Amino acid sequence: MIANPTTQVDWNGIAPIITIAVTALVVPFADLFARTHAKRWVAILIGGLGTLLAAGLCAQQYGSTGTVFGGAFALGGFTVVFEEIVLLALFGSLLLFATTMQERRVGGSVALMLWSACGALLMAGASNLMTVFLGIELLSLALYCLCGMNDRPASRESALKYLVLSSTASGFMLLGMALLFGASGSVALSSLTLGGLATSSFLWSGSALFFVGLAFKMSLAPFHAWSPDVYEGAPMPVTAFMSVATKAATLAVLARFLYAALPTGMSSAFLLPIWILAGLSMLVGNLGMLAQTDLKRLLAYSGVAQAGYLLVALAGTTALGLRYAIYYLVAYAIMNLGAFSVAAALSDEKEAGSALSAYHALASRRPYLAAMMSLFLLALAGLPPTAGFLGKILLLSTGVATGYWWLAVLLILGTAISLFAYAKIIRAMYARPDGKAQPELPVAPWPAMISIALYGIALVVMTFYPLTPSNIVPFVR
Amino acid sequence: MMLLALVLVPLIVGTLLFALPAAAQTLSRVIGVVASLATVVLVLAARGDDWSVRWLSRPFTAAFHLGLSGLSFWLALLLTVVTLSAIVACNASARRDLIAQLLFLEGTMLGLFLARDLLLFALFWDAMLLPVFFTLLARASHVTTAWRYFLYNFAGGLALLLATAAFGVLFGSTDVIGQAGVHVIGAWAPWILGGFALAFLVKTPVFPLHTWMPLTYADTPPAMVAVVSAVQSKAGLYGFIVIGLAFFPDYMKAYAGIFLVLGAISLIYGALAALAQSDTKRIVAYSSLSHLGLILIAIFSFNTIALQGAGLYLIAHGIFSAALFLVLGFVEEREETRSLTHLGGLGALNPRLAGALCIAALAALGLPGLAGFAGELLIITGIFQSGLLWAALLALIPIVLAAAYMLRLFQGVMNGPQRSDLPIRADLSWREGIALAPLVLALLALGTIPGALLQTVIK
Amino acid sequence: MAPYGSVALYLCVALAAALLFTVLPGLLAKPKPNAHKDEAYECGVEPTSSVSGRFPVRFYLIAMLFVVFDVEAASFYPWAVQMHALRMFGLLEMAVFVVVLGIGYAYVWKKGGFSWR
Repeated sequence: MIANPTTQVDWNGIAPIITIAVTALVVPFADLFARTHAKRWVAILIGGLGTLLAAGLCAQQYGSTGTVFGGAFALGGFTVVFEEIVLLALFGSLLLFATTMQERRVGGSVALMLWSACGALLMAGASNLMTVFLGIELLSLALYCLCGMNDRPASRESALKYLVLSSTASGFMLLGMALLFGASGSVALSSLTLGGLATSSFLWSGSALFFVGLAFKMSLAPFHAWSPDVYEGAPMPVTAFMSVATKAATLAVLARFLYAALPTGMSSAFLLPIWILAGLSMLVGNLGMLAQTDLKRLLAYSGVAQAGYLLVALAGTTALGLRYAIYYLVAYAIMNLGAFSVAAALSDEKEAGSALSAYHALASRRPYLAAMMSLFLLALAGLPPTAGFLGKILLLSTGVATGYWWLAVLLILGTAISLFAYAKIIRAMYARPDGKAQPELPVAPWPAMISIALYGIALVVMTFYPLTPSNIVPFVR
Repeated sequence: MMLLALVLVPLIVGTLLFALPAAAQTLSRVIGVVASLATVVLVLAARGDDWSVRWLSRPFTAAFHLGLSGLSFWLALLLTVVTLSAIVACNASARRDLIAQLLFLEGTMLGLFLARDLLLFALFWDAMLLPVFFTLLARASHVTTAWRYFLYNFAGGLALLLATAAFGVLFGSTDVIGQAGVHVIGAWAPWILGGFALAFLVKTPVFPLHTWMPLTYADTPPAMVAVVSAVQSKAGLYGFIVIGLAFFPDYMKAYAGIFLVLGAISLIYGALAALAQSDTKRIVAYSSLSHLGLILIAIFSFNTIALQGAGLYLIAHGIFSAALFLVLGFVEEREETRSLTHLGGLGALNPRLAGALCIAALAALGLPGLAGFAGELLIITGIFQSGLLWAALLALIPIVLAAAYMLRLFQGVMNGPQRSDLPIRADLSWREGIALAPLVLALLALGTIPGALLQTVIK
Repeated sequence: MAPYGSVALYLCVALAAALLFTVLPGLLAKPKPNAHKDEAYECGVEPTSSVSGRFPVRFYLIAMLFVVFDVEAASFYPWAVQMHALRMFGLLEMAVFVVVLGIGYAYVWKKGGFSWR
């Protein structure tokens, strides 16, 4: 006999996810009945309102503790913080639909993006392996479809590549989970800490496969090769969402695994491969940026490097390090969304703002957008007065304090390399017009312009008023 | 709060300038002059102030801590006066942008000199690169220069960043500049000092890290290079005094040999290179290398007299190099060349211009009665007293060479037969004269009554 | 480790057998290529056209929609078996499932997914 399942249901705990899911049902329905030229804004409006509502519901759970659904989903500050980051990414990406993508596809795309966000939200709170996998698959399945939502051939290519490679990675991850389950006899992340497992080869091989899957989703080198192609082909709002939400959700899983699931005392040798991947990502990502001619590809490589930076904060698995990882993740989310918003503001359905050539002499035509783009790029490069600067200081100090000085040095090296790529765009924007006829630039709607200003202000304010959450015990035992 | 205003006023006014139409040349100059005049007044009014607000409490304590006393005060005063002169003198075609960038440069560097917190220091250290970088980038022909300037200095800035983070973690606080009794010791301390020193050596610059400098000084617009050479180059030496000497005295002494040798090479190499240049701005650029090498030796002689001389000479060098670059900028704008092989005979038709260049050049070669003399004398006395006989003797050579290259510069531009191929332009205008006036007055004042500065610059 | 030993043994045997069956014929048999051997095998009947024929992409759409409803029907079975144990909760869950599916159905319908154009 099965136990009465209703006793384990806590609707309140997953209210944000339910809200997003219901919104995802309402959006396509409303899309069916909206007038042809209102479809775009109806979808964005409903999606945006649902996201705000979810964010509000989510914020209320900041102080709660415990798990729901029989230990499948954890409540508390950690979950809430990562959920809010996902929702921020969702809201920012929804705004990008204002200019890009054909009107008839917006409704379906918004709905899919909301489903995808559901998966990311699940991952943020996942406290057992099955929820992790459910979240990852929900996130990815919706993203496969979203990647192919443009008419360009590159978009189809992107969807297929992502589908094939990501499914392979999921397969690895699933095998890893099976081995972990075999080692511990439980799917709960917390029970992997049971004593005596340290020597179990199942734990080692299972964790290794599990990490490979996570590294793929987070696009850590050498599992990053898919990301430039997929980012380039996917529609711009999807790329923006993918670059932030996937990374945030995967980091949540990884952090939970690192902080709560591993036997104490064995962590340094056990986790060394992850830090090596982080170091490699910083070099590969930043070097990869140098030769790019497409903004989305460039930001894909940048994302590889930034994922490496983020992991520096987790090296040594200190509570403080996790807070700084979250700080940097928020900063990264804002700067990335900012850069994509500028690109979207210069784009129409054809996404002209994706090519780096579109930024030539931008300052003389759109001084506001050029200035804000410079700010976001400086933030990505870690220059003051942006949160990128303070974030790097915090990451560096964590690296030094926990004895991972070599990661700190690699971070500095990577930053130095990355500067070439970011400054190249800034230089192009401030070049003199070369007299050649430039295509007419679209005029972006005011919500897009306001959101860009808000991102910029947030980046500067975060530098001088760094707020990191203290209630982020990664796992409630 | 006055200190905060001091940092923010130029930054905010600079940002607002971009809201003006690009063609509003006069209006942007008026706004720029008013803003920079306000900063001069604020510096004088806020002397001795201290302002602090908590920034970080973990992983180490840090604060927005600004202070204006001692060397900071004099460098801030130098900076604001030079910026005022530069804005008054500014003749560039894209004037609104240049004035805005000058104000950004002033604001970020005021932040640097006022910072009493290492993290804030590091923030402004990186931020002050951007105005010069963007000014150079905006001119298509100077892109290589821009990159060289930025990459050298940003590499130094990254070393500084890592060192600051390590300092914070090790010491638990970065709110330390100007505090007595902060000594960082341990196995990591030399590495941290190394990180700071790399940034400072690049910025000063010191041989062999100087290769960005002649290009940058030659290509940057005259108004901006006056500020860069007069004040930004002092940031490294300022760092050695307030960070190196204060927190790492033992390690500074242990590794002094390296810095002394680098300083001595810069001293001789700069002077010899200045003799061999035909580009007027490059002559002054290499003379800076030589003069700043002397200051570096003074700092690493660990002698009170030499250190006081270094403080005095920092300010004096700032004034005369700003004056030299501004005057040479006027010459370049008039004659459209900087080459000594094309210039000549300007003195007869432009007596006021010649007079200004003469005073600046004489101050640079250390003529008694002008600003350069007292500093040089104190430095050499101090080095001698500290027992570094070889360094004191070496330091005498470039003083002789300075006379040679400065007189060569003056003669090449002003004396000799009048060149028929040079356009004939009007002498120094009123506006240009007013721009130079505070600098010339300061040169005279420092030359005759250096005591007023000497007693407060370094304790 | 012990309980999984047999699994490992099974894996080894499977691998060995697979290798044996694929590699051994190549080593033992004499290669005698002829044109008939390269033809597709259609129950002994002569192939009449190219094997990889073309058919409309719409077919995939219909096939995909069919899978959705097929899976839906499959999900009803376990619920139906345990309906009494799950009681009201189960009924509500299933209702939610049907509503979600219904919205998808309506969406596809309105968008013209069922019309064979």
